[in-house]
Parts: sequence; structure tokens; C-alpha cells
Amino acid sequence: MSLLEIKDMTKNFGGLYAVKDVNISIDKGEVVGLIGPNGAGKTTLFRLISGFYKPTSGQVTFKGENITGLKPNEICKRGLSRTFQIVQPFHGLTVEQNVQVAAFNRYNKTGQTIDKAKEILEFVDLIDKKDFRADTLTIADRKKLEVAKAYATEPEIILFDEVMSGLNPKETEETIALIQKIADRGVTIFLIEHVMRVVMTLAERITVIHHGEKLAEGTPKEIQKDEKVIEAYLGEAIDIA
Amino acid sequence: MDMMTFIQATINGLMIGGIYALIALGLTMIYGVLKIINFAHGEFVMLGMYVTYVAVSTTGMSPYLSILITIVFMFIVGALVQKYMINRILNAETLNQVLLLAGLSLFMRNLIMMIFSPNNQSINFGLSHYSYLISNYVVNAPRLIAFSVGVALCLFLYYFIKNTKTGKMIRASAQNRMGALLTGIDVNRSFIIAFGIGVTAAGIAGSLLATFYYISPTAGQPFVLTSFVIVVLGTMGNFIGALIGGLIIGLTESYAAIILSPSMKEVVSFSLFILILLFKPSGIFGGKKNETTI
Amino acid sequence: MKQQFSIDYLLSNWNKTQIRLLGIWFIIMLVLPLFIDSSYILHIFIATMIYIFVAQSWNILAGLAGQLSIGHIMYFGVGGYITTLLFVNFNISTWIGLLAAAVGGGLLGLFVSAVVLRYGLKEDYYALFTLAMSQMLLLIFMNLPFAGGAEGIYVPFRGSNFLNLQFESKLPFYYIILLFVLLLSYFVYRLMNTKMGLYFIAIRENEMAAEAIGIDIVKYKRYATILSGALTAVGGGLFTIYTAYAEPNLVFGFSQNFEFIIMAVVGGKGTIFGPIIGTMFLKPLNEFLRAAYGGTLPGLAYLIYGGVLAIIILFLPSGFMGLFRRLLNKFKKN
Repeated sequence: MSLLEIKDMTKNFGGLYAVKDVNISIDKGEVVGLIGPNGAGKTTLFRLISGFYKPTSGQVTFKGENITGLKPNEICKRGLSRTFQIVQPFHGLTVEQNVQVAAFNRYNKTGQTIDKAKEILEFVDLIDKKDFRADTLTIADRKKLEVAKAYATEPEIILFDEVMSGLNPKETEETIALIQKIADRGVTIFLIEHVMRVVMTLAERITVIHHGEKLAEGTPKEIQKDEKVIEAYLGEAIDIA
Repeated sequence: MDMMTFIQATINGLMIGGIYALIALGLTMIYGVLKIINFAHGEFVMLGMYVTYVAVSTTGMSPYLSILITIVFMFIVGALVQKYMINRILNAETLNQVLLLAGLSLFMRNLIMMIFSPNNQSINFGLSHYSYLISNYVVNAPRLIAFSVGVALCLFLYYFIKNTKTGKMIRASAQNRMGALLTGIDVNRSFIIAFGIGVTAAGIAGSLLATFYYISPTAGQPFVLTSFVIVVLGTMGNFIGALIGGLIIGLTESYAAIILSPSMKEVVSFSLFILILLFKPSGIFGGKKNETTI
Repeated sequence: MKQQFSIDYLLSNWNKTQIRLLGIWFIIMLVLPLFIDSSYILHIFIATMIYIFVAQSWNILAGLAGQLSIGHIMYFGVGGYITTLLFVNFNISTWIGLLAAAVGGGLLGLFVSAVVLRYGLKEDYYALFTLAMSQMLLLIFMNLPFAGGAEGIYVPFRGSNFLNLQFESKLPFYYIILLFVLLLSYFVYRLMNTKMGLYFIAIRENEMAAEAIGIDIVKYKRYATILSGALTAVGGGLFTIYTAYAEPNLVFGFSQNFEFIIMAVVGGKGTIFGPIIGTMFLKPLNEFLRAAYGGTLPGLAYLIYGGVLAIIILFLPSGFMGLFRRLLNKFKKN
């Protein structure tokens, strides 16, 4: 039984299909990439999976349970977390408090969440800045915080939405290593990425979306050679980074 | 109640409904374009009342003529408020927007109180006590005129926003600020005009009200709440909704005053408000709720 | 020890710093009566402290959780009437009455939540509804004969009795309300470190992000509303018992509604000490203006309130505490 199963996922916005009959299956422990040209419907798909959008039709099954139509917080409680493409920190709180709030997903006592927050911050290498207000962080650090928050909810799968955007090469390397660390800890990863090198490095399997529909699926090597994929990206500047 | 009372109540309800519609239209326009709820809207109605009061009591002119003064005065006030206050908080958190307008309303109300005293005033003019008798029903002349002007203005503004160039610019700015900016539309100017029109509508309603209603610094307040109910009922941002909603609420209150008691009419509109919020918060013309994004 | 007073420490432990300020304030207020002769001045401080209590209660809902409770006075009025009615008609001791007020305020909060806190309904509706609700309650109580109608209820003095919170002199009440304020403010401080408090703040800061990390935003907004409603109702009860009078325009009044909201905002909403400093500044000012100009220039006090609120929102939205913080940051740089 797969961990996350998306069946015939369709989202229609007043006549326009953002996502159409998409089927994806992700097993526990996998690192799966989701790529596609701009506007292909990738983020829409993430919103549908994580409960921020309700599908026009289709179903999301997580750990055997039908989670279609559940609210985002209910889905998070069940073990599916996501990051946002445009980072969403809690500005008025410190870095530590930001992660604490996420930790309350599994723990109730303040003491426990402080310990958990410290542990996570060490893990993502943000511990020195734990008392900084979140709105004083650099973009790269905010991205780390975003990852920290998602990971602190103790999920079984994390949906990463373009974590690398806006990062320089060095920061990108660090983030790749970070995600790999999280995957090594047993967390299933499903990531949207525009930076090809990142996807090809991290993902064991890649799904390609174009015009809201699944275009291709396979290993990185297979995808790189797939004619349909290359054609879809022609006219699109590919980020080799 | 019997048929006669019912028809009389219907007439009265429609009359006041026309004014309600005009006030609500101003409110819904401001909300539709600027996405803020004008908590000071009642005070702009009140300002209109006082403009007419001052004009009539000092020069003896007809209150209907004073509406021209109201239009100029209110538009200028509205434009200034928009440019120097509202504009600064367009992107602020909603709580701050609410508080700014609340502060403004407090300020205006008490300023008028200081200048004119808290007492009720009224104006007397030619038509004040004139009534028409249509078959068996009494139609108070000032109210009829107020109704007619109110509805006419609603329709005029609807036409304006739909068909004129300025109206289209305002709509574009409302729907997509960034897009409008990119296509060269002066969004700031659109906002100023929109807010100006919105409060001017309120002011004109105030002037019309002054022809038959009491004038006092707090006279605008009852209309704030009622116009909220109307705007929500008619769907926020919808002009025709404001018109229809205004008439509905006018009628509802009129019937309530007869069936229950005059002081209970607001309780009825308010109960209606609760029902709307519970079952159809998007109003008569509302579509599906918007999805959260990102 | 020196490190504990360095600007760095003060800034990065902002809440602790505010608790220290609270402590200083408390000590000042504790000894203040020794220097006051006039009963009237004592009265001003008591009224001020009641307002601090209510401002702080509002702060929990609007400052911490970011909910637009602008018709918040409804809880105040309901609490005031419950306490006085129970005392006047059934001779129920004030302390029990305050408890009943809390329950009443909480239930009202539950009702408000049920109507407007549903998923997907915009926050504007919360504001509109609370405003409408407060005016509705005003009208209802004006027409309720058993609640005294427009005349209101006078609370008879039934002898000096701690259980009824009625005393011959003002002093005992002064200390009781001081204690209430201290406890509530300390409660807010502790709350901000618990799951509920941090969840409130997360909801205020970013609802979407809050949902994504497992927060049931409807549930917690409801909690905030009920908690704040109950506390505000207690404030209302304290007010009516102290002033020995409950009247619709006084306890449900439109202008009074904004009074404590302005105080919390001017001081700094969302902070622990904000409501205290805001009220300490504005309430005595308001009293002074009313005493000095009430007859000649009616509305001056509220005119200034309105003006101050507008100016603060436009130029200093984080209030005095925000300004204080900015100044500390400036000193830090030098």
C-alpha cells in the first residue's frame, strides 16, 4: 500500500482545468520529484493534497485513509506537512518560537516543545539565531526556518514547494544536503523544483506535469531523455543552476 | 394586520429603503474597490445632514438645492481622507484599518457635537409637512422625493461604474491593483474617486434625510449598522444588491415596526443579519466562497 | 547581574522585561494611596484600573489572537448586568456574581464564534457582527423592564461586605482591582508561552501557515473569543458594582466601546504592558478633560480619543511599547 495516493485529481476553475486526471502514487521512504513548466499546475496539486484547495473531482488517500476535503490542520495532524514557495514565517515570534508552534502538533507541554525546537534548530543549523525575530532573518535562513517548521510537526511525508528558489549555489548545496538528511531519517519527500540539478540529484523518481496533466513519469535518467518532456520545456529557460 | 396597514407599511418601507439603498451603495462601493469596511460611513451621512442644515438655516435655500453643496463638500472631504489617511493603511492589517476608521468616526462625531451641540435639530421648509394622498394612502412628500432621488442615484452610479471610462478604471483597479498599475491606470486616483463617490453618496443620503429626519451628531449611527446588514445581504461590492437590499431592509423594518414595535425594527434587521451570516454570508448575489491561496 | 540589564537582554527577553515593568508599576500603585488624600483622585485610579483590566482582556482576543472584536463592549455590558441583577434582585454575593458574569460572557463568546468564526468567512464579518451585536444588546437592554430599561439599575449599598465588594471607603476596592490587574497581566505573560497562547499568536501572524502546521484555527479563535469574553464580563461586573449603577448607554455605549480598545492600542496591542501604559496615560486624561470641559465643550474628550487613535494607527501602530522597543534598538546600535 502506498503512503500517498492521488487518484484522478482534477481541479477546475470556472472552465479552466488547472489540474486534470492526475494520478500519482508515492511509497514510504521515497524521494519523488514533481517538475513541469511554469503554470503547469504543480503548486495547485500541492494545495489540493494538503487541503488548501478542494478538488473538483478525484481523491487523495494517505496511509490508506481518504483525506480528500479535510482541512489542512487535520491533514497535518495525520502526518503530511508542506512548505510554501513564498516563505510564511510568524514574523512577530522568535525563530525558536516559530518552531515551537510547529512542535505543538505532537506535544502539549511548553518544555517539550522547547526541547524539540532546539533539536530541530540544531538539525537545520539555525540554532545560533534561535532568539532572533523571524522577520530579521535573511531569505536563506527563512527557507531553513520553513523547513524546520515542517519537520518539527513530525510528519511522515513533507511536500516541499520550490525550496531552492532564490538561493545561491552554496545555499542550494546546503539545502540539498538538509533534505537528504531528512530523507535519511525516514521521512518521505515529495518536492516541486525548478532547479533541474536539484531534482536530478535528490529524486529517485520524477513525475512531470504539463498543462495540468501528467506528462511522464520515471527515473531522472529516463525523464532527461523523454522527448515529450524536452518538448514541453522548449521555449522555457531551464534552470541548470 | 389588515390590507390597508400592510400597503401603507409597504409604501413607508420602500420610501426609507431608497435612502438605505443609497447609503449602502456608498458603503459597498468603498468595500468593493478598496476592500475596507468604512466604519465611519454613518458619520459621513451625518455630515451631509449638517451641510444641508447649515445651508438651509443660514441662507434659507431649498434643501434640495443644498445637495449641490453637499456633493462638492463631501467629495473633497472624502478625497482628502482617502489621500492622507486611508491610502496609508490600504495594506495594513484589517484591525488597524478598522481602528483608523473608528477613530475617524469618533473624531467627526464629537467634532460636530462640539460645534453644533449634541441637541437634535431639524429643518422646516416648504414641503416639510406636505403629504400626498394617493387613494387611501399617505405619502409624505419629502420622503417620496428622497426615495426617488435615492433610487435614481443608485441607478446612475450603477450606470457610471459599468459604462464610463472612469468607472471602468475604478473597476480595473478594484479587481487587480497590480494589473491596473501595469496598464497605466492611475490606481491612486481611482481609489480617491471611488472613496469620494462612496462618501458623497452617504452625504447626499444625509441631506435627503435632513428633509424629514432629525439631525444630530449621533444621527448617523443607526444607519451604519443597517447599511452593514444591507451590504452583506446584497453581497459586498454589488451595486444592484445594495439597491435591492436597501429596499428589502426598508420593508422589513417597516413591517417589523407594525407587527412588533418601532423600537424592535433594528432587532429584526439584526436577526436577519445573523441568519444571513449563518446560511448565506456571501449574500444574494454571492458565488462560492473563495479558496485560500498559496 | 549587569548582563540582565543590558539592552540586548532586555530586547531579546521582551516579555520578561515587560513583567519587570509590571512589577515596578505594581509597587508604585501599591504605595500610591499613601500619597493621595482626595477620594476623587483615588476614584480615577480605580476606574483606570478597571479599564486596564478590560483593555487587557480585549488584548487577549485582538492583540494576541488578532481577532477583530470591535463590538467587544457587549461582554462588558452583559457581565455588568448579570452581576448587578443577581446582587440587587437575589442578594447573591458579588464574587458569585462575577463568576456568573464570566459564564455569561463566555456563552456570549460561544454564540459569536458560532455565527462568525466558521471556516472561510472573512474577518471583516467578525468585526461587523460584533459591532452590530453590541448595539443590539444596547437596544435590547433599553427595552427590558426587569433590567431597568433605559433608566438602568441602581445598586443599593448593603453595608461594608467583602463578599459583595462593597465598602465604606474606596481603599479596599482599590487594592482588590489592583490585584485583579496584576493577576490578569501575569496570566497573559504565562499564556504567551503556552500552546494556546502561541497558537493565538500564530493565527494572528499567519492563518495559512498556522493551518499548515496543524492548528485548528476555528477552534482556537473560538477559545480566544470565549476566554476574552468571560474576562471582559468580569470587568463589567467589577465596574457596575463599583459605580453602583448599570445603565445601557454606559455599559453598551458605542463610545465607551472604543475607549478601552484605544487604550490597548495606544499602549501597544499584543504586548503585556501595553494595555497598562495606554490606559494609565489616557484614562486620567479623559477624566480630566471631562471634568474641566465636559460642560462647555461636550465631546472634547472623545474627540481627542478619536484623534489620538487615528494618529497612533497612522504613525505608531505598535503603540507606546513599540516605540519603546524601537528606542531601545537605537540605543543598542550606539
